Amino acid sequence: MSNLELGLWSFPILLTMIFLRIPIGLAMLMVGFFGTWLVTGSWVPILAQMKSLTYDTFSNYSLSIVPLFLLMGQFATRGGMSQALFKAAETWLGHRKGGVAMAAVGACAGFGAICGSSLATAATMGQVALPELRRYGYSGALATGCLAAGGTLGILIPPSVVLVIYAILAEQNIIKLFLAAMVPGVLAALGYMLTIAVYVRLKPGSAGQRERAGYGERFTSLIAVWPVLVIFLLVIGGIYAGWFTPTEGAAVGAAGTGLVALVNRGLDWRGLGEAITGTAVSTGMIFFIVLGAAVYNGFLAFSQLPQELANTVAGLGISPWLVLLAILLCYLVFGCIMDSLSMILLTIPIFFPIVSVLDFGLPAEEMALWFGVLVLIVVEVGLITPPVGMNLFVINSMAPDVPLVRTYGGALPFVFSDVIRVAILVAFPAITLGLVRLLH
Amino acid sequence: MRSGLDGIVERLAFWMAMAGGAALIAAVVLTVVSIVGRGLIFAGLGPIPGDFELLEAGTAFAVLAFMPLCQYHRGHVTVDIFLSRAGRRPNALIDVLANLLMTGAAGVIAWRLCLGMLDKRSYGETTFILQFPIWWSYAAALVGAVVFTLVCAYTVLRSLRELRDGPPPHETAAAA
Amino acid sequence: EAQEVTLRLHQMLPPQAAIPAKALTPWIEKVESQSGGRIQVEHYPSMQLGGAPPALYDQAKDGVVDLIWTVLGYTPGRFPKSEAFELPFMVTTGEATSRAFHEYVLAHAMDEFKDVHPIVLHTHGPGLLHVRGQGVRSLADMAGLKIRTPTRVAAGMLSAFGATPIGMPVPAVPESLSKGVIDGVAIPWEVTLPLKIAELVRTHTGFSGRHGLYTSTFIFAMNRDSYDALPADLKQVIDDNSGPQVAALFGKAMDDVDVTGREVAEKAGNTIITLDEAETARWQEVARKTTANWIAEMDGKGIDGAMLVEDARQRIEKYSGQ
Ligand code: NA
Ligand code: NA
Repeated sequence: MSNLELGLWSFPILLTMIFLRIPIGLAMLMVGFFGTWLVTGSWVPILAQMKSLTYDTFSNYSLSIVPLFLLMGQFATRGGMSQALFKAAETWLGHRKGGVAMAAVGACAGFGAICGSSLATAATMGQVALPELRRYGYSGALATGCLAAGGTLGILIPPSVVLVIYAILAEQNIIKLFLAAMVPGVLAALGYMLTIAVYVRLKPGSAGQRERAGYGERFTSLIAVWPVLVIFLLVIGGIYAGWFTPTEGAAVGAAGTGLVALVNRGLDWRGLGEAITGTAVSTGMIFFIVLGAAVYNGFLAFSQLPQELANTVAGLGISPWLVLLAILLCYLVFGCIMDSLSMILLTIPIFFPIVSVLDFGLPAEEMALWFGVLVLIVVEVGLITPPVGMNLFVINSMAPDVPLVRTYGGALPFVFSDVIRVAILVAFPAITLGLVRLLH
Repeated sequence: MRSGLDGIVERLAFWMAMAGGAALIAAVVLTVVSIVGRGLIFAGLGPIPGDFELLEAGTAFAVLAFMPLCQYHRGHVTVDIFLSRAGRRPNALIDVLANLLMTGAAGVIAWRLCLGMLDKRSYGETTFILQFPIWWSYAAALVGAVVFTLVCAYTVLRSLRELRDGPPPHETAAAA
Repeated sequence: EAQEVTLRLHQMLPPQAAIPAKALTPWIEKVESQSGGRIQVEHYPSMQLGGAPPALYDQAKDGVVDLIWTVLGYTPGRFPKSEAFELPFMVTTGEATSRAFHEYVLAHAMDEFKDVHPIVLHTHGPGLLHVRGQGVRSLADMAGLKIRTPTRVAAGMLSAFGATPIGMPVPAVPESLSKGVIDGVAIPWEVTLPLKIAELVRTHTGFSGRHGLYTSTFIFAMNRDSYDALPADLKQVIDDNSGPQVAALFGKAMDDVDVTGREVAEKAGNTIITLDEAETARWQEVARKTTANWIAEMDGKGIDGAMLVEDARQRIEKYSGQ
């Protein structure tokens, strides 16, 4: 079997293992390990590489941002910032039609600004907002659907773990990627709110209403949000202003949220232990996939499949837009069953070389930023598409009385809004690139 | 609640994670102090020498120290859609297999990391700024990798027991 | 004749960078044609096969790949004798210094490379200081500057000048420099191109006389077993493309791109400061301490540091004279 064929065969084998419920990181690690052995015809290369690969991957300076952002999210929850955000959004928006659900989305967006992970955002805001939504008479479908979708804002609004991984794989500037994701992230939040507005008009029985809060209450609620605002401005502002690198910014954010949690008495020894435990399980999960992907992608490069595939696609002479459409559709389909990080790690080494040789009328760097944001959105859609959508599971597990099918149904309108947004961003790259062009 | 082996392994994984958390928090404090020092160079202060390499070493240790707890709490991402209707025993069997493979992978990781450490020690390789031997960082990370392997081996036993008895009533997979 | 051997070449830079484009690619073409097509080289740039750049040397040693090109300074402490060329004010041109360096290693330091088959050992041209703001016009300007250090040896040198050496990974350099996380970098002109340094700083500081501030050392090496497994005539092809003369070509490739790097900075309207002889002498005086420290450190390891520095100087002098 030629090396190229070995590379091609690795996909069905990998997918079979994944569908047999072998952990995704483990499956990639094993296929990569044995694949490298086959391609090089010797155990020496892969065994030698494993001597330094684990340490080099886990000590990577850019990747060290990941556990720091996760710790920051844990501290933010401990410090009661999620409650404060929801409370503030609710007093301002709650009296409108579907207003409490919109408030939940708004609070998710706020939390996403200080949290780098979708699951953490969904889990945190779910705990805070789900009981309230049910109390105001929101249907199970809408309540769980809007929170699952809102959770994706954790990644869509920078800082974002998935963008960090993309930046490393595609050798792009993390700061510019964060900038590029900013406007699309805000559009996502607005799109979700619009979706809710349409939803409650089409299904009037699905939402209750809250009495209008007085302006006194509204402004009081804002006061409790100031730590979130300060930390967001400090971290994101500090990164853009050049006080520190993105990784250092994550450390500053973790320190800031940790202090707030400490002051709010959310961080006794027990709370600290729980924050570390939560960080540990997520970090272990992410880095094991990253390691597996490093081994697997090394194997793919040895097989020369990515280069050949890129040359082939470029040689076909198909319209670049068709190729882009095919890739984005690919992500949507895979997103039904795979998680976002695995998809990025698995596919960017293959798709990015393909896209890089296509001409979209953009400079190479802008194309990479634009493509990154598009991919970010379509992989995040995977978190709320049935049958496997991690956010759906997380939120649904908090609402024992809501059948999973209802949650699936409740999330679909938001999937629709995601697809429309992707179409708009594909058609108008300037929406994504405007901020980068303005500030650089 | 847990006694015997379960309790020992849980405590081992927990305290390993706490050690990793301590390293991560130390890296946070060090980084913040270094940023402040860097901002106050005019006042005669300065960044902590070698802050970048300390952060890298600290993260590498923390990540490997987190692996055992992630394995203990079944935190790794799987796709269960196709097997969710296959019934208990086939699924329990897959668990045994997956944990066996995971133990193998963890063993290889620890084994190779150990050889990498010995290499670095024999080369006398150091970091750029502080010039402390790189193999120290490898050795710290190796502790996590060894504990990871032990916890993986335990989860094989646990999944064998669940194959025989069914899952314990109150245990749920931790959502990562 | 049919192709017999495929060699995998792995390195960390993109294919269009100076050495990959102007030294490695010509080398590959020569070896392939001189072997009559019996050797084929697969070039994997940008660490495509996995791992971090510091692992490259071991990838050649352990046989992960057949050929690697890497910076010796990525693994501080591992090649102590080679550091003599990294000391302050040793380098003249990349071409001359590279030739001297390869000869020097053959004479004194082959024990450091015994686990690979070295093809070329070379250096880059003179390194300069590229600093934000007012820039560096005298030794006093160095006080308190945060400068990204290229090597372990240069870290000591920057400290001696009063700056704070920062050991930052290369990919973090452009954004850190653009935002002032660091004030400057020490690199040759050639490296300013991929990092777009000319857009990030307004001044570049070099020195009078023939000697540049510092240089870094590189190796282009082959796995021992891969080399030993070649038939005699193919070994000869590799040998014909190894050694000090070839090292000089690698150094010259860097010198050539240095010219481009300088032109880009000039075109950007940047100020290129060349410190006068009196000022340069002041820096050299301070830098003597770094050299003395290094010699003392080597003596501690049972290596005759003073002899090595003297020998390195003479060899560089020999090829820089013309
Ligand atoms: Na975020
Ligand atoms: Na999905």
